[in-house]
Amino acid sequence: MHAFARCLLAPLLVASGLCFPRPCAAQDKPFTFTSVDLKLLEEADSIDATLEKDGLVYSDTGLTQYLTTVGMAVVGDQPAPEHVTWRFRALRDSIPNAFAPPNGSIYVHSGLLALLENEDQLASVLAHEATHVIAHHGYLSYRSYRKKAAASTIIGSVAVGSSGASGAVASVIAGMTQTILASTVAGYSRELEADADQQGLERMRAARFDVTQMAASFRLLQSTSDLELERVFYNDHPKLAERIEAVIRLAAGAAPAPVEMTSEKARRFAAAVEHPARDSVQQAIDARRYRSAVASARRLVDMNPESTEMRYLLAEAYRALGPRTARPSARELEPSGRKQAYANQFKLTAAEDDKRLLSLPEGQAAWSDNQRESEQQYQKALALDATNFKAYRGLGLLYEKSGRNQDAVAAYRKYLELALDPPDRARIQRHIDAIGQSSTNPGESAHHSDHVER
Amino acid sequence: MRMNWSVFLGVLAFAQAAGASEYMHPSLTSKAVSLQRLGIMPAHIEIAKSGVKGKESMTKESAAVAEEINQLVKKVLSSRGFAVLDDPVRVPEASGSGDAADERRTTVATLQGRFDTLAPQLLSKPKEVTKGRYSLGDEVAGMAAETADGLVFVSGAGVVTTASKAFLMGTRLGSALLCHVIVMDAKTGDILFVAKVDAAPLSRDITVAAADLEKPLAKSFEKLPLGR
Repeated sequence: MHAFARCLLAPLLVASGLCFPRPCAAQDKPFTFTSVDLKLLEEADSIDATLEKDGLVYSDTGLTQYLTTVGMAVVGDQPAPEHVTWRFRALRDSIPNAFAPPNGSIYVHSGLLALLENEDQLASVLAHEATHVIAHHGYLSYRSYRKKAAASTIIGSVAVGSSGASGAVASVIAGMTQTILASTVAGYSRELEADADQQGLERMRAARFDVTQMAASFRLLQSTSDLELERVFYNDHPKLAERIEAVIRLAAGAAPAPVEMTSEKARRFAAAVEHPARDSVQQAIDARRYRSAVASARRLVDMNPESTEMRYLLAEAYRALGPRTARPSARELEPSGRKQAYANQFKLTAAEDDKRLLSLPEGQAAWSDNQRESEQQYQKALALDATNFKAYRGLGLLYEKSGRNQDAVAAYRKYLELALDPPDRARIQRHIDAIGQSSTNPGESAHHSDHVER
Repeated sequence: MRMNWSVFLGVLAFAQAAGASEYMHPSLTSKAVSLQRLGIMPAHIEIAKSGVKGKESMTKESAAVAEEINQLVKKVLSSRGFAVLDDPVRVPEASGSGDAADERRTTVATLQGRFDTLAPQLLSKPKEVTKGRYSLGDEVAGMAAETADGLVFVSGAGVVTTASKAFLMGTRLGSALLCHVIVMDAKTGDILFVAKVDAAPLSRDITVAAADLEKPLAKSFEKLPLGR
């Protein structure tokens, strides 16, 4: 998601559950809207508009219809709560996440759609998020956040007074303190999250979904939590293991759905979410989440081993993975390794990080493996469809990066021949020219820029 | 990796201390690259109200200011003699107009996403543009409008401090707005020019404050060489 949209969402996400494995609580007394709640509702509507305007919402009618069908099934036929209009939509973001502002818009990221395996798991996500909306958890959390923030401001004023800081900088720093507070302290309580799981599970049961799949979806999320060494809400979400145990207990006694029905639901789900799932690979590459890109592409290939497009995506993901291993090493997973990785993400550009890793023996070894794997996948894509011109372009970029200049030129030429009039014709021609120039002047690198060919 | 609130506000804090400045890529200073036709990406402005009860996003106001700044950038660039393109991205050929519009939005989102990934490094050390450190990669060549020499990204943050908060914190600051204007080479993806444009404190309400940016913006763009 864009930084802008994410920033706008900050307080709202705190109020809306942020990521799907989140808690919520039953509300027995009727909810009365205050002016603060109505302001939050207004913000939620504005955010819908911003996400739409920024092109982050998939406008694919079939996909939206599918999400709506599953979403409305778990919501049931009861009237929507006051100030809620149910909308179920997919967002272009590779981070596996879902969230629900209090106005009833439920967003599922493409990264999560790529991770889930079937309709029941999707239903568990939507049921959980819908519960946050129905039980007004967003408003309640926002009210709580404001109380905590007010306390922080008073503490902050004392600190500023004593340190002598003044003016804009002090104001901004105090603002940041509150933001941190909002992100880390004022989320839903464990009880609320547990309650959302429980109510979500009941909604699934009522709509005849397989309730055992809620735990399965949590496990999938858990399996990716250590893939990227980044600090995002979902990978340090507390007590996910506890919640898995809790939903297993809640679902105890429920018979898993018959295999035929499960496979039919999985097939239907895969067909509906194929577009965002495919997109999530490139989105992950663009966001420097290379390991997630490989994992997503691998799942797509496992589901469609005969698809030239999926093989191509896997090849692209391995090429982008560069000097990294597909899973973090034990050293990277240590606290010091995580800290270093996080610092590097902020300090270094993607090209600089690649260069740093390539200077290490383990980076060179990983690049050698990934190069081989990428080439194999491009070749498999071409074996399945010899006219898959994008695979030739990928091969060209791979060969050029590996210093196999003649192979690169041949692959680029094949791409230009097959693609007829590609939008990046000039770019590829520049690569060919640069290679030609470097052959004429051997001292010159074929890479006219360190930044090409990601 | 994308920016978050704290990064953005950190940048704002830095800018408040450092003042406005411009940085140029060596290929621009050496005139190896020339810019004449520019596409302007939708500005991304994030305004927050900072009050005693925490920080609240001002989504509607942010969108209005972003639109205002977009128009301002267009005006300033045009007055400098740059040709401003109607659309910064390549308009795809599609079966129906609806599909084309969606593909266009997707391209804009993809380009913006790539920019956001680079932004933490770029905005924390904009001076390194002079060393040619930053690029979005030459894949952008297939996304930018065919005739564009460069794409302009505008990224900004604003804070409106409520009176009660200002009193409690002992600050005089009412509101502040900082923008980074970035010009990217549409062929190579290299970041060619970065300008920090600062308008603090604002003379008017933040929702109409973009006008306060006109002078500093025009001054920054004076240094951007116009190609022939």
